[in-house]
Amino acid sequence: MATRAVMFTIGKFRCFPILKNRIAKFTSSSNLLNTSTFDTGYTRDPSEVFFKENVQALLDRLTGRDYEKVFQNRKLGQRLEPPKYELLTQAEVDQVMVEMEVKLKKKLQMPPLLKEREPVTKILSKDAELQGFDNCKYVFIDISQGINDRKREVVVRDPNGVLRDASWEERQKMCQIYFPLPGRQISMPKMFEETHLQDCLDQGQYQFVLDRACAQFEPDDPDYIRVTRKTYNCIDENNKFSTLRSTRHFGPMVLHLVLCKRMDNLLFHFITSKEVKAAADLVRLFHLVWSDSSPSELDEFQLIENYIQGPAVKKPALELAWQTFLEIEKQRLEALSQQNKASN
Amino acid sequence: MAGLWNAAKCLLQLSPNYVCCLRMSLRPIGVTIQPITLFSTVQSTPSIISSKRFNPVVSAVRNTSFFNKLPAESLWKGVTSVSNAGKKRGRGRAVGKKMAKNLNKGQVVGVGKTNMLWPGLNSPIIQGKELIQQKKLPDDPDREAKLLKLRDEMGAFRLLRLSPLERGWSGPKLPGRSVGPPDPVGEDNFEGFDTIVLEFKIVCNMKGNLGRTRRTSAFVVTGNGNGLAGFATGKAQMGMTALRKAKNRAAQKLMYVERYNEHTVLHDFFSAFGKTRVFVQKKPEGYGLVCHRAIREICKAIGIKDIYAKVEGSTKNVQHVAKAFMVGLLRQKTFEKIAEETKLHVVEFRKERDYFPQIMAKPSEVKTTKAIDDMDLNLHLNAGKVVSKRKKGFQPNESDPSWKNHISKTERFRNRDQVRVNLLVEHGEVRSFLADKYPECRQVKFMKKMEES
Repeated sequence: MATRAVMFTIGKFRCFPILKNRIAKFTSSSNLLNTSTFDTGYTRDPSEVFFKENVQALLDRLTGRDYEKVFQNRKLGQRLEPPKYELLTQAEVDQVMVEMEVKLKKKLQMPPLLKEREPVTKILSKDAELQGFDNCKYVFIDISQGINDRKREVVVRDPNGVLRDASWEERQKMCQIYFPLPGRQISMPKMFEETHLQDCLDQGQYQFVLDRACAQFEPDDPDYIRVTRKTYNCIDENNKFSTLRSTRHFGPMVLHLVLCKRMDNLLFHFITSKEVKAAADLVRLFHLVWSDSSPSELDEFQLIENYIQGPAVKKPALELAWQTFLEIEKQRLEALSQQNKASN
Repeated sequence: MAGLWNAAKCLLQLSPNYVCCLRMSLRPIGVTIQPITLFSTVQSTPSIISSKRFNPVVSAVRNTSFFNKLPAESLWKGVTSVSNAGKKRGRGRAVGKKMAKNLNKGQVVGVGKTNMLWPGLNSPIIQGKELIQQKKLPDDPDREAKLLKLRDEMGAFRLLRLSPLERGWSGPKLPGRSVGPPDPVGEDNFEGFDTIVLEFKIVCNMKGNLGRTRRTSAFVVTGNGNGLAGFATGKAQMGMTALRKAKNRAAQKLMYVERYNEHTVLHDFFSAFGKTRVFVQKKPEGYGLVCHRAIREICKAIGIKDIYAKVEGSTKNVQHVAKAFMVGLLRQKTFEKIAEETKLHVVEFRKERDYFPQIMAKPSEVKTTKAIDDMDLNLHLNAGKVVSKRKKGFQPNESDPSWKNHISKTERFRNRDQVRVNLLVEHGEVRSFLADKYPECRQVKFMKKMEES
């Protein structure tokens, strides 16, 4: 039975009782997704690797910096304005580009890969004399300004008299109500449910799904991890790596694939598009993640060859691609040397 | 007999309004005179006229009258009553006025009420080797009806009904309507060109010898929607001739207009012609042609799809509006030209690209310091002048109690539209938390009754 909502104001604290039928929804979802081995293939805590400086540097290099793509018109349904024009000297143009660099860094800031959060278990007090005070639980939130939402005090008084810290879902809902973040909805949008998510991915809207997931969830939210991993795997299956290139999601995707040992498709993509540096970086990343040491070879070609002969999973396809690439390189170098001779 | 005639004279004397004569027929038995009420009531004096032996029947019938004696022209003149001078001045051609109808229309010499074959008139005399004889052909029962219908439709001025796509600015009138591409000249077929009439009026010139001479003046614009357009005016006695002249003259005076991305002008500008001033603003895709109707047609001819133009001063003088606008368009400066003039980079910033700079034009050499004039591009283009913008819309006085009252009432519903959308997304219908408990308060969607086939 749905109960009426009751509002109190006690000084700084405000409470908002959550309807009983919602509680079941939250707990069931967190139970389902506690298993981190769900369709991923790794149980390692990715945050151990993600925050290392050398890993971050490699991921940054792999992402690339296509200014045109980063600053493209995303067509988000906003009202168009006529363009503005300015007359600038060269110095001013350079200054503007410096400002754009700062903006670019912010746009390419990678959302972290974390393991799923542990459910909140802290109980503040058990007051059995209060039990049955109402047939719904009361949630209290501290709405002082300037506190980080993860550290904000959100407590719940259950009908059985227990005063506990709010669960992650309750916390996020309350914070969104009182301190809304743009693009985030109070309850999870239907788009992130399995069937609808699959529809979106089938349409190829990877960047949209990932951007919305970033806006909607916290990075350690089980739902976020589920959505992002599904998207990354989908991109890997369909070889659509270029859609995420020069976006903030490319780095996390690459790290995820490396952790799953599913980076061969990506390596194949790099080799066929003749991006040797990127391929070499990818192999270096692999070594960093799995053996925590940078490989001894400095030559990129050697590095890639060693990987293909050694830890690669899809050896035949990679070998073929690599051989083709080497042939093309040889021909190109021959043509260049002939040209040089002719000019000399 | 004499008595009767005397009686008739008396009748005539009694009623001086009689026009027609009385035809008196003498009948031997039981004749009566009936009083005639055609023109005026007559005091019947049967005592004078009634005779024991015969009463004459009087009926007003004429075999000949002015109808037969006068020509059609003078008869119509009597009805329409417009003098020769009046006709020259075009009087008597208003909508309600009687117009002379040509009753010979629909009739052929030789065919009449009795449908007869007259060799030499409505058939050849010899056909093959036979002599054709006069013959009575079967009657056409509808002939009368057809003629009457024809005559009814003549002279009635009925308004043309045009489809919305063909209509101009106002009804079936020519301004705003397309009159097709210009006539081909040599090899040029003017493919893709369309002309639109901007003004179609009757102008007069007064002279000593000729007096007032009327002519139609047509002002048209022609263009191919791809940067080429031209306008011209043509004058002639007949409207169609004037249109044709204007159209072809416009085709001779084509001008190329620079556009930005083929959808709008290069930059904001101001131009004037006479008392007509035009302020033009560049607008983004999807904005549309928000401007004077003449400017809209010119933009369509050129191929401009998004613009804002404000006409101040004489807005009715279509020729001035068109000229002011065209002059402004031709005086536009391309980015390359601006860069060369100012020796600075012309950089574009777009909001949807998070103001990422896009260099539109680079000069051959760049200067290192900027003057005051280079601070704002619009200032540079308008020679230091700035458009004075009007304050737009309702500006509420925040401390006004009536405004506060309004806000306090409408604040509840400020997010109502978004709430409806969210409810539809979540539940598929607009419902409240009470909908489960009280199913009768659910919204019932109106379903049209489908006809059973």
